[in-house]
Amino acid sequence: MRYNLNKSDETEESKIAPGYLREPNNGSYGIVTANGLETNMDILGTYKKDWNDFSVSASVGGNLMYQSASSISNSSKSGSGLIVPNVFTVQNISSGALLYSNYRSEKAINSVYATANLSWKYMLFLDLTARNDWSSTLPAANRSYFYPSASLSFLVNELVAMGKVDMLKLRGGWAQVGNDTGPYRLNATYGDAGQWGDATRLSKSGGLLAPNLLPELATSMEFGADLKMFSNRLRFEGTYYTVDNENQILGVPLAASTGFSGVQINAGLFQSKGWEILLGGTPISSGNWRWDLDLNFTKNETKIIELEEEIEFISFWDEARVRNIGYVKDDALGQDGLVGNLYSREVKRVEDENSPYFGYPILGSGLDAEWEGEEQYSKIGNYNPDFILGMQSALTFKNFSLNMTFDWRSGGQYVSQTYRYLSESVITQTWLNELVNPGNLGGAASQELRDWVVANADELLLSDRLRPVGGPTPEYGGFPESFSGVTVYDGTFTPGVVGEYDSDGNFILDHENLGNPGTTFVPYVVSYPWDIGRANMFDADYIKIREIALSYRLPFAISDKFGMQDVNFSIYSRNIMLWVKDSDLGVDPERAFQAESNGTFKQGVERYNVNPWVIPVGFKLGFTF
Amino acid sequence: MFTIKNRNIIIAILVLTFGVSCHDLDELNINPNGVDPETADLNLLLATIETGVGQTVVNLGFGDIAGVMQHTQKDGWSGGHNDYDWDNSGGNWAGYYGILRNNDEFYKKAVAGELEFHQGVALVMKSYTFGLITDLWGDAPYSEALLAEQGEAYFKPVYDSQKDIYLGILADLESANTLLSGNQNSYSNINTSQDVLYHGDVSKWRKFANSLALRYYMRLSVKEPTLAEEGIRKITSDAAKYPLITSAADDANISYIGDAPADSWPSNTVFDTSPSGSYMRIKLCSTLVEVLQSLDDPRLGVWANKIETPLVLVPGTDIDEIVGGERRVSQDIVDDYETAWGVGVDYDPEYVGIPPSVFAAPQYNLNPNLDQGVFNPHASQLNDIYKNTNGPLLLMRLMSAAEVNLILSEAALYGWAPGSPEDYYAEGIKQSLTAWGVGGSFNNYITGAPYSGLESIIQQKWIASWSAAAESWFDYRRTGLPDLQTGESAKRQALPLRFYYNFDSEISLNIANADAAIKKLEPTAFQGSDVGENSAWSKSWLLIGTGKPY
Repeated sequence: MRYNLNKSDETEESKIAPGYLREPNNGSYGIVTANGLETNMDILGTYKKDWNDFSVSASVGGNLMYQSASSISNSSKSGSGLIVPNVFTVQNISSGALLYSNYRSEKAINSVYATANLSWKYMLFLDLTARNDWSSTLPAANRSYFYPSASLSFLVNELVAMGKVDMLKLRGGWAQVGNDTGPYRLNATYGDAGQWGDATRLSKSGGLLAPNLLPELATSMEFGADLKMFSNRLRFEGTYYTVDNENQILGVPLAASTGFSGVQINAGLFQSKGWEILLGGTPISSGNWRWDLDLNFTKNETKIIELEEEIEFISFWDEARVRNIGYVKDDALGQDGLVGNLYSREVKRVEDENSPYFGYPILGSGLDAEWEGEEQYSKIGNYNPDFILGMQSALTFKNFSLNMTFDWRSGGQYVSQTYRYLSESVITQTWLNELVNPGNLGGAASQELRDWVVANADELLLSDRLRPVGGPTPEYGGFPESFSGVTVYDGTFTPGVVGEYDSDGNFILDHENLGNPGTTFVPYVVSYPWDIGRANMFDADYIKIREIALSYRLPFAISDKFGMQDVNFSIYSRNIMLWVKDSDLGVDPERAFQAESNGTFKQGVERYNVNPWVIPVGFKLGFTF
Repeated sequence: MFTIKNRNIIIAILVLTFGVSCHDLDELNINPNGVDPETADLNLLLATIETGVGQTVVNLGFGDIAGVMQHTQKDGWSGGHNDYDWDNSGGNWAGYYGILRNNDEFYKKAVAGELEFHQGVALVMKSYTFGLITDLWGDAPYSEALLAEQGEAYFKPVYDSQKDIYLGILADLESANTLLSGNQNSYSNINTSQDVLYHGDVSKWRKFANSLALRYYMRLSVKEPTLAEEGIRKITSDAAKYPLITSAADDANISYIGDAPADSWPSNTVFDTSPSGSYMRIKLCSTLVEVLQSLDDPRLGVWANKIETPLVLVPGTDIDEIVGGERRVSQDIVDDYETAWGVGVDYDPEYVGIPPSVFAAPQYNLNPNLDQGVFNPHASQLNDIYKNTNGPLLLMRLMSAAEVNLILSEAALYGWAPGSPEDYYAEGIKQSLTAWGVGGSFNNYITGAPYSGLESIIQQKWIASWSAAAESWFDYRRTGLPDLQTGESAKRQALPLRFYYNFDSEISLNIANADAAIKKLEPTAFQGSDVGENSAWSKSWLLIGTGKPY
């Protein structure tokens, strides 16, 4: 029997002194105190028995889990400020400007479980588990859920002698895991829309809950083999797995005209499949030298097979004019169903195949001679990798060893708000590099410039990644413009055409904007295509040297004198090199995620989630007694 | 092996510990943080609904629609305001349907509680909100909207035709008139402080219901003249049965509180002190300024500040100096400015508005402050009262006696209402002047602004709709009046007619129904590069075939 208690207390204050533009009324103050508690009470009984070749170990147990959380928050309403500057107390906030709330939640899960481990001749192993949970967060009728598992492994080398094979293990397993949800997810209460003077403003929740929520159930299956050969000089572990996630509890958006923003559902079926392969070898093992090389390869793919009736997709995030949407797999509609797909409005282009401008971007009119997005969203990428390959190398000479770790990620894309914001503000070299310098055709609109643009249509008009022509100064090919009332040579233009379709779908040109006379030049500072999602999406491929370490181990004869098993001295360094396929802004594709306030993460998009590149160098001294 | 005694002790411990720590799982999941909808008093929803509608009216009528209707122009972040640079990423009606979600809940509770006052109020607010939706977008989910709680059959509501929505609104307002026809004392559970609009005054709510009906009948006057005439005759022929808002004291206004940005007038400078903040970037539009000046309208001084530094043309060359509070400039300076910016210089010593849709709004009238959206000493900012967070004139104006009288004037002009159009016209002006605190100048004013038929009626409606300009946009679509012309920076060379259906929050989630509604829109010559009929320059049912406004 065991009783376990975990408690956390946290106080968070935010103080803004006078002077901040967004808090013009003597700054601001806020204080939040939060408490958390989790208790677990377990009882476990175990039984063991061996008969000849059989051995059995079985346990039966129960668990009572209880969680509670509470918080109290007091702060000045955004912009409302403090009565007296620099006095950071709650009573220094005038009563109408005080934002106050508290929250508490409780949750409990009661469980019983049993496990059994059976083995025969150290050759055949069978592990069984079964568990039933009762969760307070689910409706009474669906509260109880049972989930068993079974796995079997077979050591073939114990059955037949296999020469050079040290070990061959075949294994397979099947497991289910049930899961509940958070507290109070069944019935909505009225929310508080804030006081209006003396009037209270309650509001019916825009998120539709599901009073008949079911528990989530993940069913996984895996098959694998482990092989060791030539006195462990060749090692292999391979696993293929599938996971079926049923009844996953998630929110999906609803059309605004329903009156609700979204609905909580038990999503039909998410299916994951993947490989994990580990291949290791010791190509050199002679005398004082030894070299170990290990590769691990992982590949995973998750598809949405089924959601719910009348629901075709889930919306995960919408950032930087790119949306992460998951559509249900539907071959007829051309939906691959993959999780991680990124959608955006592609640049509007001339779709009339008979037009000489076929495929050219259609620009807005007047001073808005910029790319425009299409009406519909198109798939432009996916944030998941095709595969990740890791490599560890360990080279040992006598008591010295040199260890290196590499990672290679292939495939997938990410969206960078960092790139977008910094480029929009034109404070990065990267955007400057992206601009197309027209060379000695710069300086003025001309027919020659237009012909050059058309001659380079593949790059300037037809490619996926479009870029304006021009630059901030005449050296960079800046064109004259007089937006500020003074003519300066910092103009750029967006290659494309302006026009409309007639009723038969023929493209009717209004005018070209290809560098010809009549082209609209806009200042370099507004040249970034803010509304085109593709402009801030990059391939996430990278190769990293994650760590290098050089170690020296004191000979045992010496360490033994000090009464120690092992004395180890090493010098190491991390993050030695990052090579990325795309974008030289220095964003690490591995950091392409954003933490949300509710503890979840947006995958595949980052906003200022960039750390200075730190290459630490360290020393390590290890003793083992 | 346990002995019997040991076993008992263990069982006792087990029972004790599990018994003490076992929680009732049902009770544990009752949310202690919010109000239970089952037991909540419906009045607690009312202020949410009313302020939601009120803020929507201000956001439209003091926001981009004030730009469309040329009350104001912005000189910073002005694309939506001056140039109608809208597309299907805007025009999100989620806020409107959010108000309706609360209102629907309020109505259901009123029916369950047999509370007739609350039912009447709910029908008025429902009519107002759906009225805005169909006025702004055209066809929209109406009969199948707000039913998603009943299950996935209503996750994709069909769009009702605009005509059916107007008919539904008019039927609801008729019911509201009946529900609100009792004596004040005959109603129960009225909570005056929760009703921030009329503080529980049943008779005012009744007037509001009938005045709204009058508004929507007149909305149909060109498309469905017979229907409009019948409805207006019905209302105007029986003043006892259909009382109306005819005095400014009954105007449907909601005051601001001023405690925090969320309950304050949107252009206040108390919470937004940025030099290019919301107050700073709004300037009067020359169209309104010139009309008000020609009428010697006292409301101009209520709404606008005089310019800080008048421009004066002086002989000579290269003169640009400030002397005695005036900026003196020579003709060559003016010529250079006009060449560079393509706009003229306005020497008016008092009020200067920015012309509609000009590229040079931030630079207008020789503005020496070249940043966008900042103070311009040579153009009229809003009156200083609009720097406040709240005040007697800073109101959400849902409907006014001025509007009702001017509708009656138009109805009388068509012979649909008894009385003379001149009298209603004068009364409309009088009520508007009263509402803006300058009622004393009525006698002088009316002599300089005599009645001259429909044009004068709509002109006065347009003026009276200051800070609630959406209604005058709908009048413009119906009548083509006032005859506003757009400027060179406008997205299209005509005023827009509607909002785009929003892609993300509606079309993508309700494709088949939205597409069917879009196909029913009629494109105009100003569709430009908009794909399909979902354009701000397309006509919805109400305008198709009317030849209005173009």
